[in-house]
Amino acid sequence: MISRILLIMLLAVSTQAKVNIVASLTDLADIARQVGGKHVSVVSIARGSQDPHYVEVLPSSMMKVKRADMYLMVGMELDQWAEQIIDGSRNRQLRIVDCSSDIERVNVPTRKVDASMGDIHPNGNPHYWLDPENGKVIARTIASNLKVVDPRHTEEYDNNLKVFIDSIDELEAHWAMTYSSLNGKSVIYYHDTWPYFNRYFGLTATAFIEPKPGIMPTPTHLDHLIHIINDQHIKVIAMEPYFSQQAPAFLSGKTGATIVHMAQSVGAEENTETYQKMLTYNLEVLMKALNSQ
Amino acid sequence: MRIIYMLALFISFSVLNAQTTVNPDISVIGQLEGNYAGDALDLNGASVELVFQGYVNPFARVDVFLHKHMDGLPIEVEEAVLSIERGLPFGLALRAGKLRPDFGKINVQHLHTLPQIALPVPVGQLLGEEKWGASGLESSWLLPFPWYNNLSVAYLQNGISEHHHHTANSEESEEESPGAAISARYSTFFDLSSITHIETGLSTYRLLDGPDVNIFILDVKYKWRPDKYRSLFWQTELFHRNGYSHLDEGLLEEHPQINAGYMLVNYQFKKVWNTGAIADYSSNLDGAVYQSVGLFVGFSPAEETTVFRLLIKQEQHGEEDSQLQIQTQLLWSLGPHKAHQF
Ligand SMILES: [Zn+2]
Repeated sequence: MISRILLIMLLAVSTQAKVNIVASLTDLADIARQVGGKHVSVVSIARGSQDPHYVEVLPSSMMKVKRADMYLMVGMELDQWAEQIIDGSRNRQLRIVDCSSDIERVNVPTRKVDASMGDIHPNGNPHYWLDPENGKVIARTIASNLKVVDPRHTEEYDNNLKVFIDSIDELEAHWAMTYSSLNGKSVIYYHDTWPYFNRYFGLTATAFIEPKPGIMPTPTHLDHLIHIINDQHIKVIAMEPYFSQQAPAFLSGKTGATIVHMAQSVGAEENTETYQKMLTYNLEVLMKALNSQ
Repeated sequence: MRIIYMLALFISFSVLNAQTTVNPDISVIGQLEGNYAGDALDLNGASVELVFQGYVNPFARVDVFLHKHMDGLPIEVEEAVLSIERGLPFGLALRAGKLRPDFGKINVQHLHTLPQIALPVPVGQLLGEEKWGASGLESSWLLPFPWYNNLSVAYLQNGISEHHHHTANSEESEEESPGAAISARYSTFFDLSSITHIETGLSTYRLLDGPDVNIFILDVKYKWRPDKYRSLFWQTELFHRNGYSHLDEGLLEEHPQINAGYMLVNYQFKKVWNTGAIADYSSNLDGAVYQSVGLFVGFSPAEETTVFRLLIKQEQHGEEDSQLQIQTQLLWSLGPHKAHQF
């Protein structure tokens, strides 16, 4: 009798239980939410407005992972901090998913890297989620892992995946029409966050405010940038929300270029609360700035 | 101890010679210190630390820290630990090897990650100049509560070395290793908001062999980090030590009780600068009250790869004249650096 009650309780719990997912970044979390639908509960470790390269290893983050079934990593050494959080969670059942596994990497160094090159990403640029095509790859990776963890809802995950991919396809058609004027434009970025985004939308990163990845701008470097902006008639300086305004404001004051706040992640700015909205937001702010002059 | 040393050297050489993708992370941290106290200047505080870290399988990790002072003394194995963090049930974790137990806060913090250059004098007095580490085992348990609560219990082959401590104007004295000891720490951590956090812990220590010695520690750490350019942390530990020795014929000799503590505040701004203050106190350092206040400033132009630090400290020990000390430190590091644990 008791064992039967226990069995019923166990079944009741397991049919209701959602798959608990923790993601390093809000982008992976949002895609997981869309693919998992009502069968998942998702949280992210970093906030959208936070620098994803430097996230503190907090015991409270370990507690989130302790109760999780699946962890979504960005990989490519961007979120190395996640390893310490996962270790600290003591969760031995956790399924760790590296979302970069099927990504075609760009900017993989062709020679030995060292710290003289700054805080360079040794396995290629890890900001791959900013290309909508890679959004689809991430969604597929998440769906196939969800189907392993929770096979009973395979059909729904497949459906949700299709809905997600269709929504990106539709947007891609819309973006191609609305933002075609961005093609061929040049931008000064703060950090090299945008190579995947640029590749897809046909933009060019002429230079970076960081002289080398992770290194703060120096006066000589800013001088050099003023020349580039003036010589090449660059109209836009784009920055992520977690960087200091100081250097962009200085450059803008000297050259008249417009500062654009871009959202490198879901939730980094207003109107970026989904993956799709975040990409549209970035196109919109770039276009506004480029057309205003 | 010699065996661990040989083993560590063997591991390090085989690691350096292996050219596989499963190499551990290797980092080297170098330190140069200049010390001005009274009217003596001393520039001999050079040392290097060699760190090897990596997973040996999906559930276990090895961390080895070797330390070498440039003073003719042999290489020291600071830590050589095998940790099983995710392989055990019920939220348990296990560490074995030469380790620094989870005992108070500063005992497990590597000194170069703290801004004030030197170990607070009362910490050196109560935990040892190199802090407390020995061969042994530590088990920790993440309690099944909704927020972070951890209990660590350690058994180490050697307790804390008894020591007469040295201030700037006295000589270092020898120490001897006592027998086995146990320690425990209960800690809890809260997010006060998404950018402010607090951790507090209660620790206890008892020597199993030799005199009855007990140490209790209360530690608190608070941190505020609003953005990537600024942060503020405040760390305090209060110590109490008591004990007595068993003399012949059942007589007991009580040890002098010691109450001590330090308080450390550090503010980081514009990303590359930091400044702060440290105050420390011991009710009984070699029979007299000790207290000091220090102000420090640090500059790290490229993360932790290069750091310059300056500390100005005024110390007062018993009836002696108070003394001004100026310390400088240059720190560099090569290799991958891990994210900082709270
Ligand atoms: Zn980056």
